[in-house]
Amino acid sequence: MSLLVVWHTLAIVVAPSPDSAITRSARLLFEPYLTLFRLENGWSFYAPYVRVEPEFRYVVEDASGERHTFVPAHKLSRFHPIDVWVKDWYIHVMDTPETYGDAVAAYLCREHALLHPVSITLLEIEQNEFSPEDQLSGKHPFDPEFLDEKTLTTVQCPNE
Amino acid sequence: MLARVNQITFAAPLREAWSQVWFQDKPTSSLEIARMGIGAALVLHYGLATPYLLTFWGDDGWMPRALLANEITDPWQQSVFFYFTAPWQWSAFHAFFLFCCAAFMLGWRTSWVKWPVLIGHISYDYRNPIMTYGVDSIVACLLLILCFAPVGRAMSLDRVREVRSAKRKSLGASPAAFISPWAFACTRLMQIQMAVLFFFSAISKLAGDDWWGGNAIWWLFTNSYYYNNDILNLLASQYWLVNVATYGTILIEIAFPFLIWQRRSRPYMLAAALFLHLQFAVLMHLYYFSWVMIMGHMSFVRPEWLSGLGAAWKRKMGEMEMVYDGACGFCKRSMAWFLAFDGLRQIQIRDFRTNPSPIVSDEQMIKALYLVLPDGRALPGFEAYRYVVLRVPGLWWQVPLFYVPLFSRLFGHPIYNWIAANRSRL
Repeated sequence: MSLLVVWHTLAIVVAPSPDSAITRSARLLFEPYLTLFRLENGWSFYAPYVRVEPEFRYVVEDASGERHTFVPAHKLSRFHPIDVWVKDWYIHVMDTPETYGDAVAAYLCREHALLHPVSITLLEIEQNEFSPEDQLSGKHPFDPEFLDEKTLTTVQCPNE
Repeated sequence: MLARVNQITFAAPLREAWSQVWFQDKPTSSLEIARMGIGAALVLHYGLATPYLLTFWGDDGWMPRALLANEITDPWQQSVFFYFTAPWQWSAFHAFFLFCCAAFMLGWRTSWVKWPVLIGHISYDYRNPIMTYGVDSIVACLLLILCFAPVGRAMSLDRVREVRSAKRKSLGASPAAFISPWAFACTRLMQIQMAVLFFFSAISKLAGDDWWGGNAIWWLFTNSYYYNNDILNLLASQYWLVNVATYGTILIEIAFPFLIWQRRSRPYMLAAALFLHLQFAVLMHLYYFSWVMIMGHMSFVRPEWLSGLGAAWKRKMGEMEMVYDGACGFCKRSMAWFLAFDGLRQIQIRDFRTNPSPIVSDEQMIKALYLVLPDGRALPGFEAYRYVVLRVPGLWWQVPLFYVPLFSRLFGHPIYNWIAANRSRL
């Protein structure tokens, strides 16, 4: 019993500890345990910086050439427990479009099959700094002057 | 000889101190609250994710198996989903997992259902690791400790079954509450987990200019995800609130791991941590995260506080005596079930055949069970149960049955009267 409490306590202290010679050696020992039970975490919530997270959008181009823009965040309810999962997924996709862009686009092609999509364009809407003065002057953090649109990738949908 | 004396002199106090820190005889009550809360959160969270099962975790969803190799690089990262090939396997496992989460929440067969809950939760996380966030790690950490712990010994259906079994032999029996040094050690592990989490959360914030400068909360609320125009208006016009909230968050997080251990400061630190998480829930809509953190903090709730709360509730509700027919087998069996839920032992019992009530006559008792209250009132049958279910916390789950306006009484009375009249045949 004593052995288990000592082992587990050391493991949960080592898991978030910053990198050093001591923690590197300790990690060699604890890594399998931490990974198997998913105890690995730095516990750095919104730290060291608060990231102003970009918004994910995508454009479906249909067979007639018409473009339909979708904002997945608008479909989510803040009261639905899965909405943070979905948000985090899209942020990861925006961070690494070269890895996940094709898979997401393929999924969205299937999702919007009724529109007969020809291509999917993934967009990242970056938010610029918004000061208290901007707020007091009646501006909005999502006014066009505070947003930058970046095209991540365009993927052709497979022929039906 | 001297060395031996020294060894004995130093070893005994060390052993004593070690036991004081880790192995005191304590009940599992605070762990049971965490079990119920985390179980409920998992049922709700994964239950509402059911329509997205194959989207989130399936091979044709957001994370095709080919892409998983980018994220899963360690053979210790395991998921049962890695071994599934047909969609029905996802559905079957999901149904089984939700069933185990519900059983874990209720404390039914807790000693084994807790393991599928842990394995299932880790499996979902590793099947789509980029979708998960901090709270999923916290849940895994707390679940592992609950798996080590002897949970399910109180506030659970397992305890109900144990008490019922004793009461079927003798209605007056009341099995002793479970206490064990291992329950205390696991409570201590959960406390250390929460303290470590707060400590590293605080020091990681101190490494960033947003937090040092006192502006972090402003940037947080300008995020599209947390945006609320009213809050932003208030913060912009009273910017000192941003500074107070930013530094207050760090102060609570840094003070918590040091001051939570002292008897006198613990209530204040616990209140501060709960306040912080309620703010996250209300202002940032992080309901799941806040709830799980609050459940982790329950490990700091002293068993004495809970027993004091239980005693105060018992005093406020007053004494209740149920007078039953000891010659009726069905009545005794139902009483055993009913009383098994009375964890605070609020209900006294009296068999009118061997110990007649001074308040309820034998003629009345032939027709129905009675509940006698301290003010001398005697409530018969359905009304007796209706009175009790609201006042005995273990029976609150029956409140919806007994308190549906009009319908409960409309159907409850005839059903009870029929059962009472036919009790000798049941």
